[in-house]
Amino acid sequence: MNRLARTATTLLAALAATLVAAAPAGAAPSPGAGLDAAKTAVASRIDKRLDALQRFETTVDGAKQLSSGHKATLTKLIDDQQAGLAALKTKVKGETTAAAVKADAQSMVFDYRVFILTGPKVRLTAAIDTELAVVAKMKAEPGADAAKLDAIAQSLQGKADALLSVKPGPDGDAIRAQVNPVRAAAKTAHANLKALRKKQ
Amino acid sequence: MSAMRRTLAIALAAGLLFLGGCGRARAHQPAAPAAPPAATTTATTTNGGANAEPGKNADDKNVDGMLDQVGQQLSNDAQPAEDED
Repeated sequence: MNRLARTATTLLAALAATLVAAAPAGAAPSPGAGLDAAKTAVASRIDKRLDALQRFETTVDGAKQLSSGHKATLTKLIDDQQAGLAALKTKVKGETTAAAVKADAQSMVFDYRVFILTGPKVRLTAAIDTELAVVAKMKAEPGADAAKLDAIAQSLQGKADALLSVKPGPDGDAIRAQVNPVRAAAKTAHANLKALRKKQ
Repeated sequence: MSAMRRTLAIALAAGLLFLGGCGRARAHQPAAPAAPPAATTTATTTNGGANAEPGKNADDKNVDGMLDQVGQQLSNDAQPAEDED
């Protein structure tokens, strides 16, 4: 009986030891769990930006009317941001404090401004360069309203270059205030060109 | 004896179905490469047709297509961003 009890105890101890050893590391609550979650969240937001940059690259490649200078500027901007964000993602993985992860998250937004600045730079520059190409083509057609077409071209003059010179930074409202007039000019020019096209 | 006959009949039927399937698959394979020349022929006919107007019509389409591209860019730009920052 005594031997039976001893055997049962030994078996139970062995079972407990096996269960503890087999438990996944993440299952046990640890002081680093919050830090890991923060790192994962920031890495995921970086991935979103890298995906967007990939789409912007496709847009630039497909924009046939982009001037060569604008195309070069946008391609370099996208390449630089892809490299910078990939490096930042690696940095985030190696962080050991919450403060460092927070600083990385701020850098991800303030140093790049992928969504409120890079995206509009790509889309609006492509739109404006295409509108200027449309103006040139329409002017060459018989019966063209040259004065109106010149006015449209004038309204777009320098807008893409102004947009491309806007730098990312912590003040999001200031960036939007510089992007919005360019967006409005591109929209107005598009509406005016379509109206002229109907008449021509 | 009857069970053996039934088993043989089922095996024979399964074998025939399998062989039939292989034959059909092989018959479908050569059809794919034949498609491209047909498309080329159609394109050539369209471009060289008596009604083709390479001058003005092409330019019209070009300008309209470019205006559509601009509309698409502006529409994409109006979409809400994934992160508002």
